[in-house]
Amino acid sequence: MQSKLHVNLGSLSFESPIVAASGCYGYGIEYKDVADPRHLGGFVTKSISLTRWKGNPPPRLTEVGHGLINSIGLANMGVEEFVNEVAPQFPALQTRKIVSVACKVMEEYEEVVARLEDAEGIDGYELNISCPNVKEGGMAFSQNPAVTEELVRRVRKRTNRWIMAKLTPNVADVAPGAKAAEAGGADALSLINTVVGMAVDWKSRRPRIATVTGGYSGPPIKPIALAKVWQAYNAVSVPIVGMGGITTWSDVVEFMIVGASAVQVGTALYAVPGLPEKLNKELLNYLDQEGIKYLSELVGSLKTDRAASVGVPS
Amino acid sequence: MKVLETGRITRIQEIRPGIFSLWASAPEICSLAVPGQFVHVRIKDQFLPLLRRPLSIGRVEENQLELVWRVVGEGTRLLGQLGAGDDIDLLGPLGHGFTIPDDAEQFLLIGGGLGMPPMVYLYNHLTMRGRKATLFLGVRGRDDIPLSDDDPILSQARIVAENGEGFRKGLVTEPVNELLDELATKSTLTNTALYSCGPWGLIGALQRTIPQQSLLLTEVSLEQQMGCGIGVCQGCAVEAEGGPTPYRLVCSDGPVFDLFSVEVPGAK
Repeated sequence: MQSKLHVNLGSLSFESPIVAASGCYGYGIEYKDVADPRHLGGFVTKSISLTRWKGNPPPRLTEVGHGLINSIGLANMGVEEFVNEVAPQFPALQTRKIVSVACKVMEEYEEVVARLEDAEGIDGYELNISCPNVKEGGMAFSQNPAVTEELVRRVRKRTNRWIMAKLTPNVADVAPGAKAAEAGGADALSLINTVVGMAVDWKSRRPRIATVTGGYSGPPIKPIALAKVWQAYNAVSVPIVGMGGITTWSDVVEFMIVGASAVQVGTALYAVPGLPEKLNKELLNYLDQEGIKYLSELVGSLKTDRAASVGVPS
Repeated sequence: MKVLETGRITRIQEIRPGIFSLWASAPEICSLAVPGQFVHVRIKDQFLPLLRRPLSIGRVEENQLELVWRVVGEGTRLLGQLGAGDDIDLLGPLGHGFTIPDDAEQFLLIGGGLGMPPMVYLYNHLTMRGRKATLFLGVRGRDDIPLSDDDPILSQARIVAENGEGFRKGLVTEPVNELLDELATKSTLTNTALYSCGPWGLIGALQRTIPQQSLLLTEVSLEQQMGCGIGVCQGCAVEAEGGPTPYRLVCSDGPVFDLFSVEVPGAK
């Protein structure tokens, strides 16, 4: 019997809607001592580039209240070492393994994916076209729908594996970029990447991270993420993986109501590596209490008629 | 090997204004830990503060470990409000500890302010095994000493205070270099291992004054803003030699590094 938490994202199915977000779960092997990866529907690796990237100078992160600003600069080992050292460990991990790819130019995305095709145990790719912390490429790809479409189309030609495009929230409207990624052949969309943010030390008048601005994540960005997911859901027909500030089961439910078929948890994993297991249990409990058979029934069930949209007194 | 373990606080005390010490029962982490490692502490089951707080493991006695910290923000403030019987969520032991060479005959340990607790852990570890260790502590004044007045370690440490206040007045590097000079005349410098933990100012001063080539080993434990604590987020980078890039991660490559491999921020 299918699990109540089972979700389909196009051709790829997941046993739980909880996926670990890129950059927050390493290469997929670091957390396995302290949290069983089987509780995850899947994970997305740290973004892989064509060569090793050293990343940005320190300091690279600063905590701001409930949130975190980071500017890691996509530091990663590069595709060669990844294929030789990390990917061989994937077949033993009982969860969906999605490899994130981030490059400076379109041709490199094609090259990296072509190299990753040699490795077994990879279930799909997430194209990171929305990192706010690199000088070349990064979120500039996702801010330009024509570029987004061509990039996804090029990668689509290189692989039969499942492809998800990760979109930036740092645009006026996510719909054009979402439609472009769909037109290019993406199987799913994930959003949002981090929101451009900044923190200043008023005493020294210095920025609190070396690159001055960085990517803001954590609970404070959830309202922004919900709005962007809702906009994308109304623009495309491919499944959407929502993320941004998820820490509780009700956050997951809210993202699914506004149109996400699955979610990613990110920053919260740093504090609670075992969060996915907890969320699964709580979601099952919620389904039982509400008499809902499958979690996937929630997707896009937002009620927007005026009578129902009453404000909640606080 | 690292574990997630609930630590039950057995003692907690404000040992100086704004400086706290707690002891917590954490049998698994205590059995795995070595001097120089740290734990990543989740103070309460809530996301404010969002992240864990990395704290060096101070003393380990049987099933209990000591954590010492200064209140610098919301997380450290909340930690200081806990009491005996409260639980904290510990991820650890994390990072690599200090290297202890079998052939070292002299050990010099230099704590700077809140960098003292891991030095005390290492000092106890060495002296319990009959190794000859000298413990130094550098502070601005009495209020910076991360040890309570009745702590037996106080009488064993050579304390140097910038403000004097009844201690030798000056910088901790001064008596350290006096001892190194003395060891040099006895030709035992090559059997000497030196360890430190403290602010960047101390690390820079050691780099400028210690005779690098003459010593058997020089190691320093670093602190940096940290996210995950296990090498996943890459947030705690420092500039240091020895890896494939100009950066190394305090949490997983460190926190212990060769003293002369690290770049003190703003030193160039």
